[in-house]
Amino acid sequence: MTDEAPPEPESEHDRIGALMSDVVDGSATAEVAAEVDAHVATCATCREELTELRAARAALKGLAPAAAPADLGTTVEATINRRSAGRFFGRKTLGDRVPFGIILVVALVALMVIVGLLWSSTTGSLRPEPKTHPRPPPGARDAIPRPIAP
Amino acid sequence: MLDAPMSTRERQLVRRLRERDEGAFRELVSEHRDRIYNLTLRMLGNKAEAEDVAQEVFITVFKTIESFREEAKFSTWLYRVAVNHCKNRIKYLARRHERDRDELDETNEGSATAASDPPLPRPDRALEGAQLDRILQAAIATLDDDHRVLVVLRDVEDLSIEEICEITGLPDGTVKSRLHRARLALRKKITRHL
Repeated sequence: MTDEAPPEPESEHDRIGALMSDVVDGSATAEVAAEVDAHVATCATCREELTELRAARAALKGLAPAAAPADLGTTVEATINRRSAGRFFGRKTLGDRVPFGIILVVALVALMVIVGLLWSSTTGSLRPEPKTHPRPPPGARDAIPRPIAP
Repeated sequence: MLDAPMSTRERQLVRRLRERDEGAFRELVSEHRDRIYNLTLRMLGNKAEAEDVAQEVFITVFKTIESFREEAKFSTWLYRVAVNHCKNRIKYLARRHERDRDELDETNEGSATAASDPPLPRPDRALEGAQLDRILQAAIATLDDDHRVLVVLRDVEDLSIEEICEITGLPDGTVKSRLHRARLALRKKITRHL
């Protein structure tokens, strides 16, 4: 019967190395972080590796965010319209395509103008006739038959 | 799936995008353009290519919004589209580079060929701002696309491992081990310039 073979130094480095990314990320548990710390305290190779990984990550995180060109949106929109011959944004309901609201307002204004014109017109006035008693035609009194003298 | 569900605002935006609302499209681009452009730039290392791919990302999102099943956050889906576009463009550029190199070899038989990796700037120059940016960018460009995407998403974009798993479709362990290998590959290239 043989004792369990001790882990080879290479395997231990690999195992600790795999944990280093979590430590560098800040996502390692306290136990893992302590294990890595304990190993690097005695292993110069892993200590150097951890230092370099930290430096590399810090440098990458420090990369200045690049701003997109200001006209990116309009360029994309123009490309979509060009490729779809202007039909891409056209899948809209009838209500979206036809400005019913504007048409209604214009129609109401036009109707009010027409009614106003007719109201004030002397020929085709919509104004109701004033209620007056019709005057008897001239000479109408004469037309009343007089009693015949006996 | 991520714990954080889609917000009401995101749902409304998606609904309006499905109705092909131009206003929603402008909102989408305005809100995400810098992050998407930053991702494409870091993945591709070239402004013109990055801008072109960023445009294609938004066009794809708008065209394929019907296929978004709302199982993940909208931004996660957007990143997934962007990552796929970047990977396709990297492959396309690599093929074109190889073809150009072959053509160059045919015309200049016997001459030395260019190295496939982009040259890193000289370390003896002052590492200020833009130059450090170029060094990091060149170092990222030496990674293969599977490793590059993880470094960009985690170390540059600062997304969580969980989000990266959602975007790439890789399990947690694979993301972590690949990320570690990618960082190991990067560290020598970067730290000698720091």
